[in-house]
Amino acid sequence: MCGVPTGSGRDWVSYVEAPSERTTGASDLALSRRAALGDRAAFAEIFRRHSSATFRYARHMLDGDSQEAQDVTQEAWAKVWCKLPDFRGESRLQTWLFRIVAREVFNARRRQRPVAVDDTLLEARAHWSDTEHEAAGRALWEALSLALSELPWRQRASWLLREFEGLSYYDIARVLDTSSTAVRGQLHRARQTLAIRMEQWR
Amino acid sequence: MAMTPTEQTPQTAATIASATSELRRQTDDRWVEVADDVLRNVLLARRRSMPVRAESPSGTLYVGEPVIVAYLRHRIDERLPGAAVSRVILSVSRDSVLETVTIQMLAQYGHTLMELADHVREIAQAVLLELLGGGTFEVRIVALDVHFSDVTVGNPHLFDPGDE
Repeated sequence: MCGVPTGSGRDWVSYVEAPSERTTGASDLALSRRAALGDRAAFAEIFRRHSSATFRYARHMLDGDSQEAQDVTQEAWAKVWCKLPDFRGESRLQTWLFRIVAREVFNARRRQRPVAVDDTLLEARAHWSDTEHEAAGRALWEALSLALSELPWRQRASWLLREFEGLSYYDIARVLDTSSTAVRGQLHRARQTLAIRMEQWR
Repeated sequence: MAMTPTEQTPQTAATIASATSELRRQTDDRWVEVADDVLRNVLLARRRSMPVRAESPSGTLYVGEPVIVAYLRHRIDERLPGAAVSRVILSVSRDSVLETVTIQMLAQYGHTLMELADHVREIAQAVLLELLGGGTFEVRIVALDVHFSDVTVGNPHLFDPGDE
């Protein structure tokens, strides 16, 4: 159970050491092994390497709500710290991290409102309304952000993990608890929809 | 009127690639501002822990299992360049007395395992005496086992067998 410390007992490792070559030069697996044994400097290095990517994912899955994304990312990483002793290297560390973050993000979104994971409930809109034509005047990145927010949950998640983070189909499938074939399908539909949106923006 | 899905034109693909890069950078700027605070809060989370009984001149106290594990790892890794701790397993009796300690190690190829094991035991015994016996009380442990589970070609502090 992961919780807030009560301060009982001697705490020999209550600080984070300054980074050294033993942390910055270590592989993810070596760092995860050491962090699992209480090495906070190793954990801080893992955090430095991977936390911004998990925040990116959370922010775009939560419709750009930065504060919500920050809170969810923090909750997820607290679970990472607590669960690291159970990580045995069966997958890449990045995949394992995103799996925890994706679950927290999904739960956070579900608390706000029902999540339509099924693509048939959220068909990509076929044309732009008058309001949406205003989007054509926005910056390029804002147009993409808007287009992403229209995608169904699994398509959006698959696209972010592939295009932002470079995960393989296999790793994306492990993060989202689905199959590589399903991921391929989700990505194909996401790319088609985004292509239509961005073509209209152009 | 519904539009049919189209294949990406090269220009659209380039637009999306450019937008992706820009959007990625926008999100990163925000994280830079808050990351330190988030890390600080994350490290306040407490791992599951068994209390282990310790004796000091002023009486009995209890030390959390993660503290013992962290201290063993820190001391052993610091003093043994050719080996690294991979896991520490403690077993504790119902009345919180430490009974067995198993230290799983990775060794770098070329080092003598028996010598490394002796060093690990020596360091571990000193750590346990310091943590649980106040440096003066005898700490009786039923078994202190050292197990070499794997070998690395590179420095085991920097690499894992899974990397090689």
